[in-house]
Parts: sequence; structure tokens; C-alpha cells
Amino acid sequence: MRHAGCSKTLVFLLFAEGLLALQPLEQHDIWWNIARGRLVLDGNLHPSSELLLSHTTADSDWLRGTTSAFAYDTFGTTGLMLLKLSAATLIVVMACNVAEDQVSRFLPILIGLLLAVSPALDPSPATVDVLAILILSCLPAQRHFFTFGVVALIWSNLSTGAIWVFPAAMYCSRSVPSAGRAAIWRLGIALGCLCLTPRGIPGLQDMLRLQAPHLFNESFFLRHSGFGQFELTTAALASLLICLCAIVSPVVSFHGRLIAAVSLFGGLFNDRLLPAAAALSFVILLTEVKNCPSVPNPAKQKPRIALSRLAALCAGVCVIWDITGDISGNEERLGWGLADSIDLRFAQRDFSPHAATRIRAHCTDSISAGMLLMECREARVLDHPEAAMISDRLSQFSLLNHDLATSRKAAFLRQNGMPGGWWQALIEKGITLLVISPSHEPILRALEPTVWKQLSLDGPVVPYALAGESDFTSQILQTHAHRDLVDHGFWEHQPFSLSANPSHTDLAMLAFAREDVRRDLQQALVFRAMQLPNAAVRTLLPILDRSVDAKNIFLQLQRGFAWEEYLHTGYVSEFRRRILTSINQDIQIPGVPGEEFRRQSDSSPISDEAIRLYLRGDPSAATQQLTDDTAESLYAAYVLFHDAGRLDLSEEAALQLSSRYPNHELTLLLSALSNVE
Amino acid sequence: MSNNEPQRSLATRHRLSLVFSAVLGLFVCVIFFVRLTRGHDVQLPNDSLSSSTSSSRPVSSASCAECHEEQVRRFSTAPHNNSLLRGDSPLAISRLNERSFSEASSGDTFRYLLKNNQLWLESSRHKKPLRVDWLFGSGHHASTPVTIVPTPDGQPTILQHVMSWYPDDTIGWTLGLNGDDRDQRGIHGVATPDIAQKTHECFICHCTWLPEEGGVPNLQRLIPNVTCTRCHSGARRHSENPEQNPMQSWSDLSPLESVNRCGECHRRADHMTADELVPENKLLVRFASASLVQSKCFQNQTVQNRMDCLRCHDPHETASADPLWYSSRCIECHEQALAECTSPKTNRNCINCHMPKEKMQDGLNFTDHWIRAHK
Repeated sequence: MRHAGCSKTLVFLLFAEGLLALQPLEQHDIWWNIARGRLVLDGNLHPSSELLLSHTTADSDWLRGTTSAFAYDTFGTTGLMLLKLSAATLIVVMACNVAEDQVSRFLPILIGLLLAVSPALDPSPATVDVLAILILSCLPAQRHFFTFGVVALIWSNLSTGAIWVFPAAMYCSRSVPSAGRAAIWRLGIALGCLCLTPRGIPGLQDMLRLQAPHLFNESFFLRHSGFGQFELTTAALASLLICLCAIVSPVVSFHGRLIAAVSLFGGLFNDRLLPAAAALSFVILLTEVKNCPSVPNPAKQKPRIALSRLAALCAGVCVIWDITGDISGNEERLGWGLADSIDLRFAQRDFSPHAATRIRAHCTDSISAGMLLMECREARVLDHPEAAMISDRLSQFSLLNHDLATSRKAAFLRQNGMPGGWWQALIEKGITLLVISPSHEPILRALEPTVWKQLSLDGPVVPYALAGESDFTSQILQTHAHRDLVDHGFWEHQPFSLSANPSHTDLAMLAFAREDVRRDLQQALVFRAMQLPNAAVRTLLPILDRSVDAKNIFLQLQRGFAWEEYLHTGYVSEFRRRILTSINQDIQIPGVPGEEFRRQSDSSPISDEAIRLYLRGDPSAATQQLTDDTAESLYAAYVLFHDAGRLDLSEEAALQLSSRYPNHELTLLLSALSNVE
Repeated sequence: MSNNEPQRSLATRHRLSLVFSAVLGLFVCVIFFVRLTRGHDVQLPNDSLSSSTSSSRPVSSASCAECHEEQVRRFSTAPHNNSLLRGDSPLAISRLNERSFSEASSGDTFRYLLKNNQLWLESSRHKKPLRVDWLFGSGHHASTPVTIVPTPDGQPTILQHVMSWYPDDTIGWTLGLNGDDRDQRGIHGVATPDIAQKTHECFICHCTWLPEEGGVPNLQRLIPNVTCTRCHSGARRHSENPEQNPMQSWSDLSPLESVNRCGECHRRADHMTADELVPENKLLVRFASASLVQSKCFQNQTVQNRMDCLRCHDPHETASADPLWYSSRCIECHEQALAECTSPKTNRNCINCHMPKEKMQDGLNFTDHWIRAHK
């Protein structure tokens, strides 16, 4: 850095990147990568075929996860966070190197790049891709074929994103006097390095399949295996902006624009590519703008500086906004450690009894496979989305999940001649454990009446064991008792953000006093899918006045209760009607006539204050507002005490209802519900 | 002029750049918009579905009749072709209207009545009458009425009535719903609500085609009953070009594959656990295809003496009720055994001893297809 201004800018950038990196690890692949890395560190060269029952081929990116595995096994979560911070620092340094002495001039683009690559800061192949692109762009264009080859070789063995080496090589050779020959040399070296993996030449096809999955797979299968779901996050927006800048900038050559456009299209179809696309576009943009001879025009200079500062300010605001966790559905918040969605403590609790057992499991995605394999090193997983994609099994993998989600147990012939139904696919392969990610809510719902029984209720992934397998019997019974407890017992939910989690420090909550309720919302959805609606309501009550999403799920649950009341009694109770119409005046529920909600009563036994307090998440206070002893009031008291976890008082209210109004519909309803339970 | 050339060239380059960028930007915006709005609405490829749930309507039996008139004519009265009746169909009305049942111990009454051309179940157990929307089962063993109610998510779900119609033209307890909870009140006293997925399963086996719209089965458009295309997949391609696309013959399948095709609905043995596949399991008798493959006759068959469901049953017509007809099929392979048989009950009737009828409940018997020497 030649100027003091540049040093200040660098410090500012490092600070911004530090803030972006100082967020809990949330990469869903992280445990899967570490499990693979551990195997490699133990001397196994083919981690995927060792861990997967369906996979037999070698990996091109066999070294992936080794660094993370080493860091995690040596320093635990701190090691992973340090890795993340180191990667962030390296990215800033390399990006500033690309900008050379014009760091201040390109400050907005640099901040944009930091935002764009923030999803790639968690130790993952995407981090390697971004770093490798930046390193290659910093290599002098002439000679250095050896360094180029070494970088390409390491890259190809660490990440399937190494296929980006081709555009990078072509672009980096652009300014060499004999550009054509240099480009051919570099492409040749890149091709050779990409083939120098345990997978050999087919590794190239694997890389292409993973980088451009839409070319090889139906959208449905991609969507159901975690590929190709586009989420509009700040990082995605920043990436798109950088790519578009590179495309539309008049000073960028046609060559550069084409590469930026191709990378942008790749990123649009596979958002995992966006950080690498942004890095490549950033390099193109900066290199060409930097080299463009500009005639100083004092008249335009001032507005440009002002505009640049404004853009830098906007980007800075985006960084701050991002770390509060307000943007997007991701768990991007200032913090340290592991995000709740990949918290390994629950996996340790659920899987540790089987650590030495050779379990054969089907995992719905990467996070569930990773969590299982981290705890059960002897376990083997049926398949993994990436391995399935490489080996052309993605349709089988997705259709198995689809059959589980749609309850297609029976074997049936598909029109393409493939067998259908989950029974054959799982039972015949000796699968005794299913590990389901909570995002697969339909599968959780569909598994309820099957032979698969939960081993726990509140983990970031939900394990299901085959009923009758002696290894799991005690856990199944224990969980069955927990189901009763959370749905009907003396149980009150404590928000996850308030419970001590040694592996996660939520700095955003300390700094901005904003609680993170996402894990609670997810738990409520899991309970709802498990046919535990009361437990879901109990989970939502403490966060009801803090989240719009919580209110929406709460409304859906109340709709379900109203539907059930109507099914059993032929009418919707006054309490339920008041709750529903308080949330939504225009309530409509299929199967329940609209008149039920338009019914007006002059003197409702349930006061507005009781409803208001309940909707604020305080059912105990709401019961204080119930003064009379009508059947409707007693039923409301029963529900309120039940939701508050006061089983004794709830039963007392039910007893009063049945003794005073033995023939009332609500008495019959309670009797029917208790019989069903 | 020579001084202006570079500037003009730069201006042209800028203009070209602008056009290129505008086109590309527009293209990117379109993709971006499409991905954001339609990203969550992708459909399962049609060929990954079974023919019964495919998005395209299968060919009708009338089309099949153009070339296979005899088979289609015979099939018209087969139980498979009457496995699902609409609640307002004449046959459903004739079976249920004015039928009643009373439970002696509790005095509870159940009565089906026709009102406004629609059947309703009235019961002392539940204040509201239940409309009969569909009647499941051909009536060969039983027919069970169901009511369809939408769940709060809009998915249709079945309320399976606790009463069923039996071939002796009476109504009685539905099999499996006559347990200890006979004294239930409310909706559970008259029907058993099933979850939406289960409802889907019920219809899949009782109809030929169940279209879905936005993930919700459309019961109005379904093709009821098990007709030609439910078992003969690839019928559309075959009907378009019979020469090029011959239908797969079931005799080309292995005996196990053949039985398992029937078992898709009648239950496959490999859908059961080892502890379910034992002679002591009295419920096994309900699942003929699962039972048959346990038999030595099936397991020890030879190529010349192929043994699958089609050996004795023609799915295109009503199964014979004559035990001697079935015995004649046994004798084709076991003539020697018949000669050596010393049982006084024989009289060339193998079925009485080796495939007896088992009583599940009053008026409901099933033939045990696990061919063996019963005690």
C-alpha cells in the first residue's frame, strides 16, 4: 500500500470483513465435509465411497474438508472460526492486491465483493474457489506456469469448482504479449491438473455436473436435493451487482464481458457459484478499469468522488444491516460458534449411543448425513446429493425422498420403468435409521403413521429408527414419553435464544438486543409436522409478539383446532372463533362453513382482554380474565391452562365442564379427543 | 479526420457496449425473475410417476375396446371394474339406502337414508349426519362408504364409516373398525378420519387415474375403478402405434414380478416383516398375493408349471366360487398327490383342506392363499 489512505481503507475493509466473518458457522455441508476430511486424514483416499452405500467411484475433490477436519479436531469450533477469519483476511488482502494502489477508488466494489463472498467464508469448497481465483489473478501474467500449475493442482483436489480455472487461465493470459500461446499453455496445464486427481479424467465431467447441474438434471430433482434454490440474500444481490457491473462497464473488453456473463448465468442457475462468479467478475472489472487510461476531468471528478463515497456508505450500511440478521432468511447475525441449525450437541445426544454400531442410514440431505457421520464413525449412509448427481443417481435419491414425503410405501412401477415406493428402497438395503432435516416437513408428516419412530424431537435433524430394532427401542420409548410431555404434559417452552448454548454466542443479541427466533419457529413447524399441535402452540407462545412468522404459524394451528372442533361437534367454539377472528377478520377454513366465523353473540363469555393476553403469549394471565362458569368459558380455561403447561388446572377445568354440562358438545369434544389420544 | 477516428471508434464501442449490456441485462432480469417466482413450483417429471398419478389422462377403456373388444366386454362386470362407486350412483344407493344396524350392547343405531338423491348416514352416536361420497370395494367381500372432508390445507381426507355393506345385503361393522372402541361418541363413533396421505393411498388402489392440481388430488376428475391402464402400463404409446409399441405381456414377467404387480394393491410379501409372514398371523389371509408367495407351490414351481395369480384368476372377470374348478388347477400338477391323498373329505376338492376360507367376522370370509396342509 503506497498511500496512507490505502492503509486506512485496508483497515476499514479488514474491519468490515471481520464483521462479516464474525458470524456463526452455518454452512450445511460443514459436517459432511469434516466427516470426509477425517477419513482422508486417517489415510483413506476415497472418502465418499467409504461413507456411502451407493457410491463406488473415487472423488476428484478428495482433499475437501481435510483442513476443516484438522482445525475442528484440534481446536474445536474455535478452530473452524479461526479458519473462517483467516480465509476472510486472505480474501481482503488478495482483493486489495488486485486493486493495487487504487483501493480507495474501488472501495464500493471491494465492499460489494466482501458481501458477495460472505457465504463462502465458512470453510467450504466455495472458499477455496474464491481464494484460488483471487490468487491466480494476482500471479504475473508472464511465465509463472509452475506456480499456476501448483495452484490449479491443489484447487482441483480440494474443490469441484476448480473448473473455473479455465476462464481464469484464459483471462489471466490476456495481457501477455504472446497471449494466444500463453493461454494455450495455461489451458493445457489447467487441463492436466484437473485430471491429476484420484478420479482422473472423469473428474472433469463430475466438476461440470456439479457446477452446472441444470444441464444434466430435471429441476424437480435439483430442488428436492438442495440444489438450485435461489434465495434473494444480500450476498446474492451483491454478486449479481458485481457481475452486472463487469458486463455493462464500457471499458471492459468483450472477452471479459463474456466471461462475466457466463459466470453470472452459472450463478443464476446455481447460487453456490455466486461467490466465485462475483470474484471472477471483480477481477475482470478491476483489472480493466484499473488499466483504462482516464483523462482527468476536474468537472466530473467531484461528482464521481461523491458518488463513490455514497456507494461505499450504502455498502457499509448493507454490512451493518446484514450482521443484525434482518436481511434474508439466513442465520447471518453477528456471533461466534455454530449456528443453531447445525448445532452438533443434539446429534451427540441422539447418535452417541450408536457411535460404535455399523448403522445403515438414509439421510435426506447433506446436513443430516454430516451430523450422523460426525457422531457415528461406523455408520454408512445410503447416498448423498452430490455423489448422486455425479453418478447419475439424483433422480433415485430425490424420488426416494418424494416417496417418503407422499407416503408411497408400496412398490409401484413408474412410467420410466423404475421401481417406486420407499419400502423396497429402504428395507431391502437394510436401512434402520432415517435422518430427516426439518426443512423436509412433508416427510416428517408422512412418517407419523409408519414403522419409523422418532429418536428425538428437538434436534436440528430428526432421527427416525425402524420400530422393532432392538438397538433403538429404549430411545424410541423415551421419545414417545417426550411426545406426551410436550403435547399434553407439564411442559413450557424456553426460547432457544435464552437457553445456554456453549457452541454459539449470539453477539447480535448482545449488541442490538434482537432475539433470534428462527430456531423456535422451526421447532414449532417440526412439532406441527409430527402431529403435536399443542406442543407447537406452546413453542410459539413465548415468541408470539416478537415475530410475524410465529403469528402466521400460530394462525395455521388455530385453524387446525377449529377444523377439528367442527369435525367433532359441528360447530367452532367461541374461544377459537374469537382467536381466529382477532387475527384475521376474514377467516376461511376448508371444511368449515363461513357462517361459523360470522356468528355474532351479544354477550361473549370470553373477554377481549383474555384473547389479547393469549395472543401476546401469556395464557396464564388470560385465564384470570375468565370470570363466569359457562361451558364456553370452562373450555377456554381448559385450553389456556393446557397451553400454559398447567396440566392440573387444565384437568380441573375439564372436570368442571363435564360435570356441569355433561351433554354439551364441548364435553363430547374433550371426551373424544382424550379417547383418540 | 484522422484525429476524430479513435474518438469515433471509442463512441461506437460505447454504443455497442450499451446495446450488448442492455440485451444481456434484460436477459438476466428475465432469468432472475423467473427463478425467483417459479423456483418453488417445479413439477415432478411425468415419467417418474406411476401411470395412475401421471399428469396426462390415460387412454380410455373404449379405446382399448377398438381392438380388444372381447376382453373389455368381459371386464365390464369384473370386480376390478367396480372397485369404486360414487356415493350417488344407483348401485351405491341400492346397497345402502334404508339399511340399518343397531348395536345390541349399547343400543346405538346406524341408518343410511337417501335425501335429495344423496346418501347420508344417521347415527345416535353423532349429531350430524354424514354424507356418503364414495363406496370403496366391489362388494365381492364388502363395500365401505366414506365421506370426504377437506383439511384446513385443502387436501381431501377420508372419513371411513364404521359400517360396511356385505354381500348378504346387510350392513355391519367395517373390518378393523370393530375393536374395543365401539362405545365411541362423536365423529369417531361413526367414522375413522384418515390422514391426507392415507386418503391418497386408498384412491390410488381403487381408481385408474388420480390427477393432482397444485399438489391436491382432484377427486372430481378421477377415473374410478381399476380399468385397463391401471395394470397395463404403456397403453397410450401402444394405442398410438401398436406395431411399434407392443404391450408387455404378464407372462414375460417372472412369477414373483407378476404376483408383486398384483401386490401393489393386494399387498406384497416384501412389504411385510418376517414376524408378519407366519401362519399364526390371522390377518395375513386378507392379503392373497403376500400369502401365495409363501406357498411351496409357488416357491418350487417350474418353468412348465408356472404359478402366479393368473394361474387361477382371470382379473378380467369375476373369480369362480367353485372349489372344484380351483382343484382342477391343482391337479394339473399334483395328480399323483391326489391319488395318494387319504383324507376322507377330499372328493377331488383340494381347496377345503389346503386353501380353506377363514372367517374374519360375520359375513366376511377370505380364502387363505398360503397353500399348505391346514390342521
